[in-house]
Amino acid sequence: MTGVRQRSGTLDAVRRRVRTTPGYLQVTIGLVAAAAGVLGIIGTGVVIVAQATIASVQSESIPSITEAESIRGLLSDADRSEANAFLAGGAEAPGPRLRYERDLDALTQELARAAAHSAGDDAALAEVESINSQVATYAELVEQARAANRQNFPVGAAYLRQASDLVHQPESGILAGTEELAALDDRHLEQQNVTLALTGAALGLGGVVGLVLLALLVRVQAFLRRRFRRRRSRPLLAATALLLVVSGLLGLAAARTARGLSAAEGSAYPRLVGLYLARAIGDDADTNESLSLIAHGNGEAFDRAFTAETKRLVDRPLTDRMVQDAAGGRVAFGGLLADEASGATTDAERGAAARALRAFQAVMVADAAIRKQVSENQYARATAIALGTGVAQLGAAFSELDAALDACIRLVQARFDAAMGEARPWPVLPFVVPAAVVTIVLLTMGGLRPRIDEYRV
Amino acid sequence: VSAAARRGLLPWVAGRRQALAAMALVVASCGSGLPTAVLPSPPPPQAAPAPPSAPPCDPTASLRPQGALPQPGAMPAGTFMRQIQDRGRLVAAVSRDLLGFGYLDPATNQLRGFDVDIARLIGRAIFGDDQHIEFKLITVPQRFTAPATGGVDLTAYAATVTCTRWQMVAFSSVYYEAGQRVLVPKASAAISLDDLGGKTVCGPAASTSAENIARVPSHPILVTADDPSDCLVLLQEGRVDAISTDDTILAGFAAQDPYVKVVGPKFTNEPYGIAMSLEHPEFVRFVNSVLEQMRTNGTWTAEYNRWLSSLGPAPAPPAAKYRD
Repeated sequence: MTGVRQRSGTLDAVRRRVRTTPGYLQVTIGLVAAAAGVLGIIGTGVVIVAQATIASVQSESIPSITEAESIRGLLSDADRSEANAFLAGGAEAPGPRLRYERDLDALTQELARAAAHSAGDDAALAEVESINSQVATYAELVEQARAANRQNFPVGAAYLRQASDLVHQPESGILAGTEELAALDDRHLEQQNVTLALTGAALGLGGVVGLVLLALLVRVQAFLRRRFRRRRSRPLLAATALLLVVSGLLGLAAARTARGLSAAEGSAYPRLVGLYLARAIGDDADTNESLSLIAHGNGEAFDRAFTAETKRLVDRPLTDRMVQDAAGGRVAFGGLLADEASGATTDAERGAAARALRAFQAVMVADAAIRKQVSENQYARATAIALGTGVAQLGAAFSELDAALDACIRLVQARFDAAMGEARPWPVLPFVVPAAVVTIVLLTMGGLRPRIDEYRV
Repeated sequence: VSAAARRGLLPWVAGRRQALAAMALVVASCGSGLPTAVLPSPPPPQAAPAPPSAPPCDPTASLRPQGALPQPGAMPAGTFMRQIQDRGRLVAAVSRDLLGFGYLDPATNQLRGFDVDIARLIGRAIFGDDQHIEFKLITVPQRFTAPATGGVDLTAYAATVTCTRWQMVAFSSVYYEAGQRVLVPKASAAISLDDLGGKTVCGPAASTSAENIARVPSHPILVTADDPSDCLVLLQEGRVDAISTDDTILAGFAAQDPYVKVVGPKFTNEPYGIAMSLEHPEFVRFVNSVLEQMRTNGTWTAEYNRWLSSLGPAPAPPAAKYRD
């Protein structure tokens, strides 16, 4: 009972004090300082967390995902090169072999980068190590196949089949591993997006605190006008203006971040992943064309895979008119290449997408020529078209598709980087926000202290 | 947003992965390997099913040739040979990597071997040249399904004639007498399947060799592969202890690997025949005429010396037996 009475007595004393003018002004200073402090902590914290998260998304998560896609693409390309080298038969064709070696070198570097990016993420690191080990086995099997071929031993074909199976096995193959790695990185990105969403919510809370602060400043300004018959207090006006400027800056930064993230993650990033996937699928389709010819009449499974893969790129026969329309932004078909044509917004992007579509058309024309030769039992001619680098030959058409998709990737990557750059809050904000809230408190004190002092006199 | 977009791009991958993961779990829980219809990678050891008992019959007896061979390019009307001639191509299924019998020569990318040449001879008997034959490279389990379903006109793939197989396809007269033996690393002390109890022994899937391995009292662990040469890969990788199949195939393996040896005597007879559809007995008789010609005009011996001399001096061609 005694404690309750004491608390009640203290509250009564505060209430009495607030009812006095100097007491009201002192309490207001305290409230402004507290609100400004909370605003400063929230604002600075949100800016710092957003900057760090966006930097991590841009420099780690998304590069990790595109790395996984790149690893997939390089593997598919290596396997395609090896299949083509085998299909060529006889003295080892230097072109495919060089390409295979180049792919393997690039693959090693990508895996090293992926391992560096995965540091601290045990699951991702384990996946990278598993892929690394499987790639080493793949390379050994290819070398065994090559050694057997060079001695004219047909067992080389069995080694090559095993190598290719190691890449393509649905559950345990290397490609499945790269998909798993991308999925792990994807989950990491999702977590970062959750963090960004939470910082957005915290910024909303900061907005409420800012409104409270604004209300305090406006209210005390009105009080001064009433009680002291002053039209305005300049320091309080400056504090209010500074509050509005800082709030505006934070709001503007949040809007830029949201717009940048939306452009980067909602548009450029899916396009980038789609393009990497399209390039890998193109390589797989080329591999399957070669494996079908190697299978020599028993390649229905490879033919089915080729058809499925090309349908994932463009879901129906492509006419010149469809390509022209797509170049003009009117896309009336589906598939990954259609997605890119639809997503392209600049002339350069539309041009690159149209180039990829024309290359795809050339692939399908060359494929039809190969199938015609196969149906006429002309395997040597079919092989020549499949490996040829001349006009209307599949090797050239796939190379052009590869180059066109590479051009698309560069353009979309630049768009992605620009959007992520926009998404990053200004670097000065973490300094501006605390300085501004301290200034607001000082200005408030500067505006109210003289009035309190008047009562002391 | 990004994850959703990504899922949108790859919905089928996600679905398939889940399905496959579920399948893998089921398989793992059963504690057995996947079926080896196709060999994506060396298959895990698995117990072979008990072989079906064959009806009493003489599988080596085929259909007797009737009259002289028709002139090339003039196949009798209404016969399957005429259909082939009108189609412009004989479709023959052969193996892809059996050194000596049927393989794609890595140096030339051309098909070569004893079986390949027999198929060419049959094509030549129909068309008069080698330009009208289409080869399909098949796996061991496809040897009889391909002619039975009409996918090919004939299969020439080191195929043992058996009464059970006669229920699915018709066989030519026997054109080669092989026998099953064992191949082990040079360092191995094993000289027969009896010494390989509890050890892994590879044999081609859906073959008489695999059935024979499963029947051995010492109970070796049977590992199957769709292509015989996949067995050699498994042995070279140290994933099986031995291979047991026809001596013809093992001789080809030994020629490709100086660190293996063929041991023990033949413990089975594996008479080879060309498999064809049961629906075209006139074609079987026609092929038997070609084989008969081959035996008598020295072509058989020349072909043996060309492809199979590593097995020893050329024996006499197997005598044809007929059931009518």
